Amino acid sequence: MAAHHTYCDDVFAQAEAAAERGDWPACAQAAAQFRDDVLAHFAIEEDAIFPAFEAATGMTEGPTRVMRGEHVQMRELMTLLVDAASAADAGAFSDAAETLLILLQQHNMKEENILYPMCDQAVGANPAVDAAVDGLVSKVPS
Amino acid sequence: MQALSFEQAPPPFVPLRFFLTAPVFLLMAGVLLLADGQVAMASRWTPTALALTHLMTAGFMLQVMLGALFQLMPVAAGANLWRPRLLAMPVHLLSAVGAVLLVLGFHHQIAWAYQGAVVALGASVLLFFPAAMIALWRTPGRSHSLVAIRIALLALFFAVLAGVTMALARAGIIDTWWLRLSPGHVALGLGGWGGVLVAAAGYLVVPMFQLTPAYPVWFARSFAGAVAVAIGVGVVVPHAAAWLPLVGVIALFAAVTVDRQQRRRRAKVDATYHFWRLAMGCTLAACALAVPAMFQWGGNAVPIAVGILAILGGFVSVIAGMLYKIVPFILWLYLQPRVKGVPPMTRMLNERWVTWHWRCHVALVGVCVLATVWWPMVYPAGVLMIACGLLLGGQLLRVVGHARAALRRVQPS
Repeated sequence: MAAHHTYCDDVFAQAEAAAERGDWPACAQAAAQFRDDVLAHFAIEEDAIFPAFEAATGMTEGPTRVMRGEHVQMRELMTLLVDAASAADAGAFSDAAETLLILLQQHNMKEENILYPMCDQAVGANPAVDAAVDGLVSKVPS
Repeated sequence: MQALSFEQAPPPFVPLRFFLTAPVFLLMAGVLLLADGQVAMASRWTPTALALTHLMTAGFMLQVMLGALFQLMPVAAGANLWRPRLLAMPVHLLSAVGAVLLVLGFHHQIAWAYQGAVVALGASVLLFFPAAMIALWRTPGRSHSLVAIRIALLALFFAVLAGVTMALARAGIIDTWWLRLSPGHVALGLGGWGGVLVAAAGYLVVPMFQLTPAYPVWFARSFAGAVAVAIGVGVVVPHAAAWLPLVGVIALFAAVTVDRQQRRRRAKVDATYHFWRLAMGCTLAACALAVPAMFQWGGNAVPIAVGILAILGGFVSVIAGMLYKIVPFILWLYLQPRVKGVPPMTRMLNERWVTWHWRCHVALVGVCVLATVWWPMVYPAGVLMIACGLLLGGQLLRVVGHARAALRRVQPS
């Protein structure tokens, strides 16, 4: 899952680089790709990893609830990002990109440093979770 | 498995009270440079030089670093401080008042000011240090930053202990023999506390802000421990060259950071990136000049230039760059679930004024270094220092003003 974070970062960087050089068609394409990749990542977490973690630990009001809340915030910002790229609106794109980047990075940091190690401990041997994660990671270009 | 909630990050006013106080110390330093800067450039041991140094370290740096820990520990390490709101008030007030008293003691050689500083700064650290260590002990999180924060806090404790001892010696309460703790105090304060805490934050924010590769695992795993060992060598071995390992390790951190930034994936550069680049360049320059300084080559100007490059060019630059990202973000994060139509964090700042701060800060570092060889430059330095304090403080207040206005829209009085 951490490797998929890095992949999503790369796609974000492509979108931002395209915006910096004013190549809005490429920016719109990369922004949409970024949104789709991140949404696929959220789906694995919300549908497979978090429920398994909550079932194994009984912690339903802890870190997974906070992570779900941040997913909602990021979904809104990704919509703004894609809309700004489609409208070739440099100011709106920069506003959405800057906030989204920090929100996403601090979210990933909490997952990678704290939540994923806890998940490895609690649901590391869960075949359903393994299959879902493998499915996501297999789509990352090598 | 220990229960953990990321939501225990404190409300924004907890770190903000520290962040908003910090620029006041820049203003005081500017006034002191204008009033008495010539004396500061004569020797690092003059009362004015010591006062200026501690306005930066015990004042500006300590305020921001304590505030940052209130935010960083729960978010980055899952280490939740006990009752952060309750804890922050005395830690903030005592550390701020203690720093002012310490500077007063240095500049006017007043015994009661030293004693007051000992009580206030000592009490502040005695409140914060155990609370932080307990939180760090109990966290289930595991990261290189976590280890680094533990070592940084230990260094803070011992730096303040040495500082308090020397303040008592200056106040005439204990023998002046204790002033020999000075090299260890400087190494613990700048290397162990400041340097390791910047590294702990850097492991997180350098890749985060610029999408750089992560710091190499071998480096992140060993840096904080290497700093601790290098300080130990410097303290124990009675030879100037014993400080070379510490200088080398700090220079390595700056070089690795520059290397990370060279490989960033973001095309966009901003003020935070420029401040970090300047900081790492100044840190490398300070490390290079520290070698002649430790062997007392080149006269009094060299150690003063090292201090300016390390503290003003290194730490103050990093801190300014970080504040411009972190303050808008923590307020945006706080407002977003509470208020509809929260302004984007980029709009909370005025980019033009931030750029002006960056220019003034670069000029300030250059002019201060020049002042070590031609003292009249202390006057433009004082003016620039005041300008930097006003620009930084003004932008932070602007962000807070935007947040207050947004909150007022949903909570009409």
